[in-house]
Amino acid sequence: MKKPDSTKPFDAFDKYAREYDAWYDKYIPAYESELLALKQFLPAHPEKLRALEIGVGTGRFASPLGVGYGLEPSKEMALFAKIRGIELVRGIAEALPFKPRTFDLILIVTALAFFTEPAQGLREATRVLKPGGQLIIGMLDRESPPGQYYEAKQKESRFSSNAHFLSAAEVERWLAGLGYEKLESCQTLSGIPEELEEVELPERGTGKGGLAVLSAGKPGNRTF
Amino acid sequence: MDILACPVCKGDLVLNVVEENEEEVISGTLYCPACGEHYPIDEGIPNLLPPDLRN
Repeated sequence: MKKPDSTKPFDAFDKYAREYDAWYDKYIPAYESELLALKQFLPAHPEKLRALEIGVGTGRFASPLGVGYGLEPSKEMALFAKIRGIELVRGIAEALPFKPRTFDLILIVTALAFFTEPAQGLREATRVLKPGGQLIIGMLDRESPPGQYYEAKQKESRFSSNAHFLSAAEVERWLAGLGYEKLESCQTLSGIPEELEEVELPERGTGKGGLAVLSAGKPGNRTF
Repeated sequence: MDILACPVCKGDLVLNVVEENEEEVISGTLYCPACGEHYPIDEGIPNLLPPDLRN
């Protein structure tokens, strides 16, 4: 029996899936800037690899980037992503429902802030990544000026009131601690995304851009 | 299907199809013999949320 007071961390995403999805149609220069930054580290043909996006949402990143599989807890968001051609599984990052060493590439875009236990989520991602596989994280960087703006406005937002924003430096330390190699980073969105009028080119490093993109390789020889 | 595992014990799952078309299983269950847990497949999407987070 369902408890009347039961709320799950992803309830807001079931309720506001359509509104969430519409953001990407409304703020196209910001969306395009994000895609461009993620592409900096993306392999040439992700559609030929076994690739997973954790927290795939409505498929706004997996679909144009050629990522075939998506994990998403919210049913409403998952149904959107499925329509965009992604192979969907409902689940959470902290308890991935996949066998070890399954994926060549794992993408996590803005979802890390919504993980209940981000460090556990990254351990699980590492478990299901093949040796030699690549992890790409796109995240709102708490230490960047736009990140601080968002953190200050967090309470007003339907989506981010449950978020725990992290800093790129913090996540880079976790990745190093998990044994990742070939750590690289870039950033985009130096201002408020909703005010951006043109697509912004990504820059190396982190600290200035609201969206930090981190790429890391799991040690081992690529067998794919 | 071959890449899926129980989110709790990571063991193999047994597929039970209720409805399918040429492309996919539309409804059914994924059963974890080790946990004794049935995970539903609904609207073509396997629900492998840990049991305590499932609706």
